[in-house]
Amino acid sequence: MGKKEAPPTGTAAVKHSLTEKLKNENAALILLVIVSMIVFGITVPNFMTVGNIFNLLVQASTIGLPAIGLTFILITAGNDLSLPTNMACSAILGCAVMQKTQNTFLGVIAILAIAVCFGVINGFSVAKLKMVPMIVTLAIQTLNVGISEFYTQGTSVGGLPQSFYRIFSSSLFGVVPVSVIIFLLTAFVMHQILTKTVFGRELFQTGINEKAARVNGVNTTRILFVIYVIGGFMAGISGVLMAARLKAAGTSMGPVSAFNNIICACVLGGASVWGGKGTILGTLIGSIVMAIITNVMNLLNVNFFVTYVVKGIIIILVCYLDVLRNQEKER
Amino acid sequence: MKRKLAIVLSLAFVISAIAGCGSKEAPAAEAPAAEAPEAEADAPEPAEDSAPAGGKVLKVGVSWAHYNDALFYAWGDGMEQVLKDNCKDHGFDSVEWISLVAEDDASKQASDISDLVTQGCDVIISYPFDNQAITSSVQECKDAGIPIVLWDRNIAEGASPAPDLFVGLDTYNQAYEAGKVFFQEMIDAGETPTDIISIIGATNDNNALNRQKGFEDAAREFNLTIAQTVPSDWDSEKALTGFTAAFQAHPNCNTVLIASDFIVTAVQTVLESNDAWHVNGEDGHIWICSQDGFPTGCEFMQDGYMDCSGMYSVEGMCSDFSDAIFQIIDGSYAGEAELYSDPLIVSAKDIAGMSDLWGIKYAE
Repeated sequence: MGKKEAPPTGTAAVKHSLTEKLKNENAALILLVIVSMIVFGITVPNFMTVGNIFNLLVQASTIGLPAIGLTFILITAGNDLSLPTNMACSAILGCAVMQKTQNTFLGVIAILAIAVCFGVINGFSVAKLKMVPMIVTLAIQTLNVGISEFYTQGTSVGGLPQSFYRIFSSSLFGVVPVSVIIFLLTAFVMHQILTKTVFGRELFQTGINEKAARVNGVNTTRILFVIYVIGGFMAGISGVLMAARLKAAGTSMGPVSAFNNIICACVLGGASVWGGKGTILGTLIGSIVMAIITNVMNLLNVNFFVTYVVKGIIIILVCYLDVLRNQEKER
Repeated sequence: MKRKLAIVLSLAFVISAIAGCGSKEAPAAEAPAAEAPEAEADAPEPAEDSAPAGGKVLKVGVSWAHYNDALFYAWGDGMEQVLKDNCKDHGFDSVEWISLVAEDDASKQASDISDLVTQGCDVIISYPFDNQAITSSVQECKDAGIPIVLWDRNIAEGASPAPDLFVGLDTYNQAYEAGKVFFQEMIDAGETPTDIISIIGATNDNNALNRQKGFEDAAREFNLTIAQTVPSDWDSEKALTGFTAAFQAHPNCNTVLIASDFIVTAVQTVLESNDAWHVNGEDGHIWICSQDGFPTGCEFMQDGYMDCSGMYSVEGMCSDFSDAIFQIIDGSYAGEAELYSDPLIVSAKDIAGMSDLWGIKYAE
């Protein structure tokens, strides 16, 4: 009889159970993505082409980057309704800087800085002032829309330097879009932060039980503040990539309705609106699933009124999944 | 286990729902040739029924910014019908019509057009939401060697690359000509336009700006000025709020100019609440000139509440489109890159016998 390995204890136990959970929860989703890719590859014309796969990943990145930010926030049972409008607003103002200076570097920094600023406002309001996340971020959403509309007067900011497009909307070796590379790299880095750092562990502790985490010495105020800043930063990266893709920045690139897809990607990927759960890998796969659904419906020429119905059903199912997960967690 | 099962089942449900909703056409080589069905005037069937069964197929992809009112139905049906009517003369047996809606999201519209490129459409038509951002999709189509036509909204001034074709209405002329007819009729009826209120559309829409300029220039010809301009953002709710305030600020107003008559019900609500909603000929009638010729506008003109409209000639636009598109596809087109059809200027007194107007056809 072999020697039975003793179960890990203390911090190692938390880390071990976290890793196991990640593996289990994502395995079903990964399997489903693979199966659906094979099924759609056989049944849907033009689905399994190199061009369409990267097209699909580009579409996933527009959902996925803000969804990564939202995953951090959902883990604490928070919410950030301002992600799409923050993305549009920061892109508009940053692109205005870029247009006036014709300096790509300055413009990109401006987009990221402005997006982070809105994240700081959200974070400060939620963490320090103890304001309700949904209300604060709804207010910032309104602020974003107001600033964007006021500045652009409804038009888009174009005329950006060619170097901006060359860098951010080009493809590596003429095949892999830069936006996909940035998306995957960002996901990898954020996954490391969430799973391999003290911050990540403290974030989960805060999400599972904020009071207990505070008693255990976790600076929950700092955690709550930082996650909204991360959310803002993700919105900023998304704003940069989308402005490069559309060759312009306007209010139309961050409609309020885009939040549906973002939160669906997170919850589908295992995050819970009740907090304490969520993985970057899951969100990444959730984003891809959302992109696959839209892409396949387009390729199959599904009547667009039916697409609304399908999306509505998905949102209901995803909400129900979250309820099931939460019930299991409570047991 | 229950959780995993739920995930798999829910997504399997979605996948099966998608598969069940997809086009059911047989592969071209296996199925016998069938005649394209007659287009129905009252229903948009973007997917299944328009799919061909055999022969050389003209694959047309359409990306709409939105598809939320009767004008889009009229445009979609009209374009599809002229292509079906004329495809055989240009070497095609049938038309496959793929219609996608971007839900007023520029990013989704870019993705939709990428999906249409992936499907290998012979031509892509787009009614863009953002006239600057659409240039990236125009470039994508050009890179893929697929002709792209912009419908009703052209790219922003100074933006590039230009589409292969733009088909639209001369919206400045639409408002200018309608305004001139309208003001002349008012003056002929012994009325003096007073405290004119103009409800404009979205400020990012060239058509809205052109119409406002057209109305202003028409008013100027009669030495009139617009007392107040109300932005609506093409939203009836905003039009209602803005017009309520404007009408209170100008109680002597007897003239209202509207950028599109799909928001005329907002004007009706305000005028009714101020006891100012009367047919022409009654005391206290407020003179109204609008644009587009939506079913509601046509109905109000037939009833005498609205007085004049610069309407879309849907048939004219579709005819211009049909004349050019086959030549663009085979690379022989040498005509204008921008085709503007003339508006139909219709007065309330003339509308009784005009059953061909798109707004009357789509009233049901």
